[in-house]
Amino acid sequence: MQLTSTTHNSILVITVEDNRIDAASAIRFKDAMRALTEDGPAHAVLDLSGVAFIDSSGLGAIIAAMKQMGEGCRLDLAGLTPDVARVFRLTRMDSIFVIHPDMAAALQRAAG
Amino acid sequence: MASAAPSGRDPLISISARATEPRVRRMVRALDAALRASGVTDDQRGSITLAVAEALNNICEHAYGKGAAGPVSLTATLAPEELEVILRDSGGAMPGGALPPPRPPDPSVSRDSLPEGGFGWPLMHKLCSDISYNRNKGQNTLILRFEASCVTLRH
Repeated sequence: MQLTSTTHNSILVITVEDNRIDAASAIRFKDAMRALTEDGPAHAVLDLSGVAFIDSSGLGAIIAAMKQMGEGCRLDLAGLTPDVARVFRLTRMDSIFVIHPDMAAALQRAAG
Repeated sequence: MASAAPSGRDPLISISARATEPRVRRMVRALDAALRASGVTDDQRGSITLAVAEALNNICEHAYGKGAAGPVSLTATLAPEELEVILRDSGGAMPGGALPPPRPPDPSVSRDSLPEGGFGWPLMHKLCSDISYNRNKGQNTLILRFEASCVTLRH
């Protein structure tokens, strides 16, 4: 599970380089996210624009990644493709994240 | 109880593999490719692929569980107004012999209580127009139906 990260104005931007977060990779995703966030950015944005598919394991791992960031920390999502957006919408878990159409919008909103 | 299959039709895809997560990923990808070539809408393709992925994950995790993974077969048949997917495995029986209820996890709980699982069956119930399960001679058969009019209207 490959994640890359950069920091923009103290926001940690995490890009998922794999094109799926599914049962076969969900645990590795969760572990990779923990490694990136355990020293605690207060605000991170997960760029999912390269992810074509998640299943409920992937959804659970994204929720777990948010929870493991701890109190007062925030994980936003950006660039949800239609198949990925469907999973969040049907489970109503889109209500627990701030979801940006793309990373440019995410960073603009944070700066503004 | 299985109703009549789209009869006399060649399957869109028919594959079998050991029920491991990497193999399931490959089966889901193969189904996705077959659906892309079939003329169903993109929305239908995404919904069908997701529901089948959830069903296959359940078979990996629950039918075979911690023991050696056995085979799972997937056959999808496309008719003008319906797609039928039949999944067969020879793992353990569904608990109670029945489908889990569609009750979905609640997003309105506190952050620490947010669920990280339990989404699969509720998703399947939303995505499929019909789900049936039966068990006979040690084999589980799960039939998922997707009606053309349903898949796009449901959500």
